[in-house]
Amino acid sequence: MTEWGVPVLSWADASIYDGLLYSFVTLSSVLTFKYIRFPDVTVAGSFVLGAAVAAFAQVRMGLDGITAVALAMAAGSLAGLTTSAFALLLRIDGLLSGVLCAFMLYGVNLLMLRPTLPYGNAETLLSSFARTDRTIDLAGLAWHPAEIALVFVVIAATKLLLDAMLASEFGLFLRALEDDAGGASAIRRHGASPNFYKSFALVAGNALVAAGGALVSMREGAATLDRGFDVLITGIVAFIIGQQIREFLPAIGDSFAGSRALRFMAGLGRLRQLKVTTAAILGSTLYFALIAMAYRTGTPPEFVRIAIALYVALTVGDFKSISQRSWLRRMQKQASRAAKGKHFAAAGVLEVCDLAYRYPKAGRDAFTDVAFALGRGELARIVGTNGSGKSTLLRLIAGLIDAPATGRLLIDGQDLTFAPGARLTKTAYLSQDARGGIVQTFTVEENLALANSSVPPSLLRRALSRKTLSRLESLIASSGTDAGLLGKTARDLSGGEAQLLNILDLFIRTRLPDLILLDEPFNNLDAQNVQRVASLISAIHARGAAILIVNHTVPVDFAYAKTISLRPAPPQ
Amino acid sequence: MPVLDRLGVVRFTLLAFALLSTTPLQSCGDGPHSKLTPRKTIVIDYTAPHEAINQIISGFRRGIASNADFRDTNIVEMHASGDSTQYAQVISASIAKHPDLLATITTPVAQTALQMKPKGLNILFLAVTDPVGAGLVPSLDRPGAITGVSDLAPYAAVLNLIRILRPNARRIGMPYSPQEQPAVFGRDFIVSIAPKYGFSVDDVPVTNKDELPTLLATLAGRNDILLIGSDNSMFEAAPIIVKTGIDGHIPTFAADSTSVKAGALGGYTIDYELLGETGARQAVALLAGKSASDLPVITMSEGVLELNRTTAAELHIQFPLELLKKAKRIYD
Repeated sequence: MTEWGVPVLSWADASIYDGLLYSFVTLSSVLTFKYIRFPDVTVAGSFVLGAAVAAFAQVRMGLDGITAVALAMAAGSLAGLTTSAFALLLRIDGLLSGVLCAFMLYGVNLLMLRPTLPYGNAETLLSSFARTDRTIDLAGLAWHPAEIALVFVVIAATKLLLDAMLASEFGLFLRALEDDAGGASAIRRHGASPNFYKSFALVAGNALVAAGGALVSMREGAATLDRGFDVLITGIVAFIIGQQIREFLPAIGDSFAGSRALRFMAGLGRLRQLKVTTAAILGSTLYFALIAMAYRTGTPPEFVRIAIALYVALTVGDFKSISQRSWLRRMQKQASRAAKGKHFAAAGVLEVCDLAYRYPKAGRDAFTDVAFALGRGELARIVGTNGSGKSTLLRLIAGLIDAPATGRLLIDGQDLTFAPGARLTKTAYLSQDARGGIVQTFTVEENLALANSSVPPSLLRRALSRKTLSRLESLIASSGTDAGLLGKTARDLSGGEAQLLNILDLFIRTRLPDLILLDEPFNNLDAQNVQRVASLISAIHARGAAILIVNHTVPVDFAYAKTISLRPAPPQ
Repeated sequence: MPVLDRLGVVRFTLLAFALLSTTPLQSCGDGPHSKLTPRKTIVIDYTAPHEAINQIISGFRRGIASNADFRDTNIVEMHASGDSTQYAQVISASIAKHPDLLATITTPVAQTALQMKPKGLNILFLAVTDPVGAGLVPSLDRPGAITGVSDLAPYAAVLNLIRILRPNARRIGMPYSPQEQPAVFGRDFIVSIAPKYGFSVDDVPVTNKDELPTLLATLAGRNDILLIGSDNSMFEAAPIIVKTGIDGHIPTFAADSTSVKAGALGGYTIDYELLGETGARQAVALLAGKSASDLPVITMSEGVLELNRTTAAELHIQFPLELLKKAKRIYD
């Protein structure tokens, strides 16, 4: 063998062996961390549990290796079930549930291991090929081709099983939970319980982790208690590396899935998750390839830790928006320099010129060529069919969308096209989502107090002085809100009540901006409340604010000064 | 999870580059020595730097350097910065350096190394309390593929010290934690050797620390001596154990510095530098071609004598002059 052949092969041996073993942990992350959005800390305990049960079964009970791993998986399932009972039945916070279960498992593991249990002469799955006296002992190094082949077969089988499960209708329900709220309600619509699928993911995930723990202990020759949260961190980092490379897999995945040889396997051709599980395994292998390389080149291990932590921060961090934000700032500076020379004739409160917007990754524009102006105190409405971009336009003006694709946006004569922050403070925006703008844990009264307080409240001055309170009270009284509503917590409000609170929130503000943007203000309201909201809007209008309304739901006749109509842009 | 964008490859490459670029590849040449005498290489693998581990390594280095035949041995240290998922990686990378000897510190590192041992490689373990229980050797006298040095506390020396200071003592009361393996192992060891020194051991497991005061009072009432073993929970409880003893006019002995400092009358503790030096003697024998199975595992029978003069005064005990002379640390 060449001079570099042996080191490279030994590096590959070490990284693939551990990489495959720890991909049990990353595969479990696919189920828990990715699909049910559950950061499962139980892993720290169930990994050692798997090792402990397997070693105990083989050494103390004299069982064979396969039974030992099966028992380990059963124990891991129980651990997952315990965590899901904590989290879903007792409704303990997910992270805390995992910590509690891992804490408990430490005790269980201690009982079995106290604190280490070597396999000794027991024939484990991984030692039956070669033990201390290596049969394969080439170039003075130990090699593990047979062990790697065995673990590869086991992992490949596990992956295919997971893929089949995820591709099935059952898997469809489970994967729906990746969108926590939407998925849960979709599952409930079918008369099924989201918690069932969550428990399943936790149980299966921890069974996988326990199997990994059992096999790792067999590789190391003993089950050891004190592993802390190392496995958890390793699993997360390896999983993230896998997700990073996932997007480069389609070529491989698609050709693989499209191959005729595999087409007979039900549904595999459509499998996106084929990529996900492959990425999980590759991530683990790549992680250990890096670690193995670092140790071989003499990189200090302390530095490895720092580099890995920074890598995760770099990966999870949102860099696109940083570059976008700095680009925005540059444009803003240019705009303000340009605006300094010429002052715009500040006739209107809002002026929109040739505005177009396109959602990132969307194939077509949300709208194009929108141009209109709104005078002070004017009331105008936006009309258009569904999907014509009415809400997008409002959100753009309100500063919730950073910048248009083309065109200009002037508020009070100032060019704020690239100043979303300024647009945010110069407008008041009522979103279609009634719950969006309120603090759910506050009572209605607290929410109103928050809206009414003059910002920013200083610590030195009592935010809710007697004077402020009495002003608040009189304002609430003038709004005609019944006292029963005031004491209610916001999350207990009905949709209509929440919508009413949003309008009240505007009405009660001490300083109202000159431009008010209302997106479907009559959503969810009954006839009586429609009248009240209409009169509140009129009252706000009477205070001199210009108002732009999108209103599809209820025909309320305001004295609209103008109507802006949007048409969906043609597909390009 | 945020948008996973095309920057992925760039970031991954950056990580790989950062990990690999910090230190130049270690040169393979052995320098001027290589032609004349084949220079030996020893790799020491351990979990992470730690006071006791650092002392072991410095003792080991000193031991190797003082040997005429192997003084120019190249000693490389590798650790996993405490990450238990990387022990196997550290050992694999160490073996790939083709050392003449692989020294491991602590039990899990030794277990993993044994599992990954190529035929020709000498492996030495250091600071393993119970090599037989950890599955490293079939017996201390006839080890198998590997050998080493145990860090079992010098209990025999402690019992000897008790005999010197309390010639008439018969019964030793010993609280211990049943959940700690070194504690249980230490208890078993003391029970087995105590009759040789004329003691009987009244050992009581402590499962609930809240019950410790009651339990200690009972122990002090029916024994002549209290003894603290290698037991983390009992180290923590050392102040109350010592105080209960003094209240009952009986001394406490220990096998660790923490407890003597906390008021135990005296004890013999492990000298980790000496442990490293002892390990170096084993290493030299292995390098010289001896087989591991012919080198019995060494247990540190000699420890460092530590005494507490404050406690002695409280119990009206006078330390013999020769003990004071021998003592490495005396707490006042």
